[in-house]
Amino acid sequence: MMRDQNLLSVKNLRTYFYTEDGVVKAVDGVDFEIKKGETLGMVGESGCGKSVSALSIMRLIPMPPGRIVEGEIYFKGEDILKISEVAMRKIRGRDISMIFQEPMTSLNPVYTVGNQISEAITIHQGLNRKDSWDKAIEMLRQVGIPDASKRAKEYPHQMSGGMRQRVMIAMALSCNPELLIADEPTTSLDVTTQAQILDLIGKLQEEFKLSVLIITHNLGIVAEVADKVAVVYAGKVVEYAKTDEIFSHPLHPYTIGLLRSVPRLDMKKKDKLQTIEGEVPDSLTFPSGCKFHPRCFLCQEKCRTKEPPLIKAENGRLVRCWRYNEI
Amino acid sequence: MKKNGYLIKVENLKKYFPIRKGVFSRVSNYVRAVDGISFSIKKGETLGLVGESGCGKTTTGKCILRLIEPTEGKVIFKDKNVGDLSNEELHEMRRNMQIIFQDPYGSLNPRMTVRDIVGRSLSVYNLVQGEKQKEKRVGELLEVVGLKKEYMRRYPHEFSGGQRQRIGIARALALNPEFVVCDEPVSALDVSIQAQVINLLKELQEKFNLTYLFISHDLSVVRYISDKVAVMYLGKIVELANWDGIYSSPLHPYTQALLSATPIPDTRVRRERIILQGDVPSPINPPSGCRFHPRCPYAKPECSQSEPELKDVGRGHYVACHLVK
Repeated sequence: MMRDQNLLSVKNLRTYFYTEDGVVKAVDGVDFEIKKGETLGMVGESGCGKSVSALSIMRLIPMPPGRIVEGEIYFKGEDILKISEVAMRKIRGRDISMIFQEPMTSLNPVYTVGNQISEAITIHQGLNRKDSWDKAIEMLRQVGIPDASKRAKEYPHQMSGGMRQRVMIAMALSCNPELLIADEPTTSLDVTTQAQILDLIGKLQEEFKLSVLIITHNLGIVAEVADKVAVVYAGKVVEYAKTDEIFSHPLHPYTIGLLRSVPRLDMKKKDKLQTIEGEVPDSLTFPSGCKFHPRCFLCQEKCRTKEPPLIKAENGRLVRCWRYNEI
Repeated sequence: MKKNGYLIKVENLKKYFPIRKGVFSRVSNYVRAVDGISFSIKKGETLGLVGESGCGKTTTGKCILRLIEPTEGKVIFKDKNVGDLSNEELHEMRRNMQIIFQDPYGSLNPRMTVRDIVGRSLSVYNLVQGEKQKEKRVGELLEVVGLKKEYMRRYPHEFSGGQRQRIGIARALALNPEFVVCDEPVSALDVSIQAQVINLLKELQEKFNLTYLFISHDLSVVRYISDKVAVMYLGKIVELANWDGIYSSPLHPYTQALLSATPIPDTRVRRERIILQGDVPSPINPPSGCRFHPRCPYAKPECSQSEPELKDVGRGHYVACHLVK
């Protein structure tokens, strides 16, 4: 794997769902790479395919109705879409782990949190019961839960939202994974708790030399934590670049529109929010050509009929737009 | 109402929810959701009410409209105390006070058409005679909020989140109210749709000279729409100022932490983040003295003993903190 230094590289991923109403192309051309120790931010609006991409990497797509119809996912040089389920089970939770948006529904309500964390340790590291319990308490301490040995005996409902998310993080990191996938980790939390959790992920990342894929709809979070950004629209990556470049000089009309439509703390009173016209398209009836063309201010005849590929722009940036160099 | 006066004035508003226990449902304690807050809003102005979940923002909004009965305090709307009104008087008053809810899915009846949802209040107040007139008015309202007239025959499930929120806004405007409580109206919407709805609310305010109480947990959104901002923590207002004062010179440590925790979508802006310790305490047994003192980075002994008053520090900037002189 040392060849290209990428811990994870996703190439042309397509995950479709075959429903009664038709084929939902939830992910339809997602490409990105994550190097060791790097943080990639994946931004997009609801239904754009962010979460389905993450679940595809974990191979947790319910099949049927879902199916990964195309693409390759290289983790440490090996295409994990081609390995057996048994081999995948060893990677999942040990090498790649995931935290979810809603900590309440992703923890089991009838087991204590210590029990749930030590289960993963027993399975992946082969420690006995007592050692894995001690390790679980140690993990809880590391994620900043006070009085960890007592809190380990509590059930999820006895904890606040922020505490539960810490438990999720402790569980995800208990087996020293190399890649952490965080799917909207702070969306259900208050801003001050969100700051605590983001701060914690950053600290642990340095300590454990983690690579992180953070999925969010919040551009502010991406600006604060990510090294690189993939902007996703209608199942496709439409722009991929370093975080600084995305914010200082966005190339895709959707990225530009998104940045102009977010109210910012440092706005002047006179500043007006600009909007992207129209609605996010329904995944059953994606428009022809470029998926963004009905809402785009640069739309031309070509955009309506022919879908742009991911074009290489300057500095190794990628953009899916026919007219990006006219902006 | 006097010229340049206040349209609405809230004085020492309190709402305690009883906790009942045991066979006889004896009241064992109270949740102090709103614990003595006062503010006023001028005609045509927007007051932004910010705070984290459970701080009492929504309860405040509902108490003002008397959708729930406040435990104590006065709400004076156009020189009348809303709390003293009889049922008939309240019915009349509600023409002027409306609310837009957070959840565009839960707040529209799925079995009613848009025409009936938006036109219901018109029939209740006998403002229209017959179906024809009702449809005409509903059509106008839909156009005002940027929807097509033809949509009135559809049901809520046929619309997207942003469109549903527009229907909710049309319903609130049907009676030409003067005052609208907007309870997290854009929190459930996608980023690109949020901006559309916020701009719509701003336009409507100018067009109809509306007065808003804008409740939100998102400081960036509040900054964009509000003239004045009140920051709430555990049922109390800790800071109140015009929008500029809150954002350029926040005085309360909680406001400072809240501002620094709100991410700015720009990598060129670098700020020191203040990370608060611990969680928001329970409103059943709020901490003694200043309610923020267990998490406050500057807490002094006096902070745990006496509760700070909300005092004027000049230019209409109010703050409740012992450390601000």
